[in-house]
Amino acid sequence: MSKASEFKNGCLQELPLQLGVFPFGIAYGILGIEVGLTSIQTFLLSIIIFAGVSQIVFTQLFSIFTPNFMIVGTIGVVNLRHVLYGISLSRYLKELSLKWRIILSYLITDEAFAISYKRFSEEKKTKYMHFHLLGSGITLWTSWQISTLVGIFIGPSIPESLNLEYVIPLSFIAIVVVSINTKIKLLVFILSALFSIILKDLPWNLWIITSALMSIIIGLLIDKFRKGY
Amino acid sequence: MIWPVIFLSGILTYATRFLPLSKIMPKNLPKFVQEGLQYVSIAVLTPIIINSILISDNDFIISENNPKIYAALAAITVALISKSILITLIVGLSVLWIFEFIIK
Repeated sequence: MSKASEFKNGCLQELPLQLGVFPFGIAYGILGIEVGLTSIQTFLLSIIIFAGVSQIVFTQLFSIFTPNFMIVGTIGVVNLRHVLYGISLSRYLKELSLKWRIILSYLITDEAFAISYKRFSEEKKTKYMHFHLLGSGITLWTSWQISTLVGIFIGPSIPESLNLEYVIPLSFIAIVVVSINTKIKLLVFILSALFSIILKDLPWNLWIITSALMSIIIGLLIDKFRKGY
Repeated sequence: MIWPVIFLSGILTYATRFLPLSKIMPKNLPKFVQEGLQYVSIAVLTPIIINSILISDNDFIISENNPKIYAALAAITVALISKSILITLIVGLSVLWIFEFIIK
């Protein structure tokens, strides 16, 4: 397949996912302004970080006054899932030039990964298949920036009673529920929920990072015990 | 000073995306690391969900008057059945609005 058709396929296959991404971006824009970031800061977070979950964590921690190193540290943990995506993608992208790998890395998100990894692993490998990820990535990037702007500018005129920010936990519920496909993951979910309730009053908003790490470690120990590796 | 935090978070986020595609990282990470990475999304998103549903003004609101609980339960059910973010959003928000309307 040619560069153009790979690129086009990436764009087109990514488009339907924007139905979920767009409301999320709007909700993020609204939230950013609500917690006291400026319009510029809210928008540039979408450019500089360009990762929905990390940006939500950023705004949440920013709103409840967290030490800076804790914000950065928590975002670091949140981002670890990118490493998993990168490892899966590296099999298909490792031979590309440094320039390509630098550009494509920026575009790795949950949604672009989902679409392009499916293409890489299920369809025929071709010389220009990285253009598929370029297409899905740019599509997501564009809709993320536009929806952020929409949230920033229409946010103040939407009645608060509509609770549009609630789109964020609802999206997370959908993501978590769909990704629980083993007993261990169900256990990690329950542990993480319990820890976050028990640990809510830890100083510095340590509860996100602590609940996450403890549930992962316990999940791993139990998995190791069961499988014996 | 918020800008250094924004840039540091950005650099860190980019690093987690670029490192696996760089030649620096070993090809095969230990098995438990790979396994652990699969839990990250669930482990991180769950506390945020709990926080947004149950906590308001730094206090737990676990009562029949918290419409967010009903919306979350509906969302979990719909997500299990439909596996679709969009449908989950629509049902979750609708339930939230209906209960807000009934309770208030």
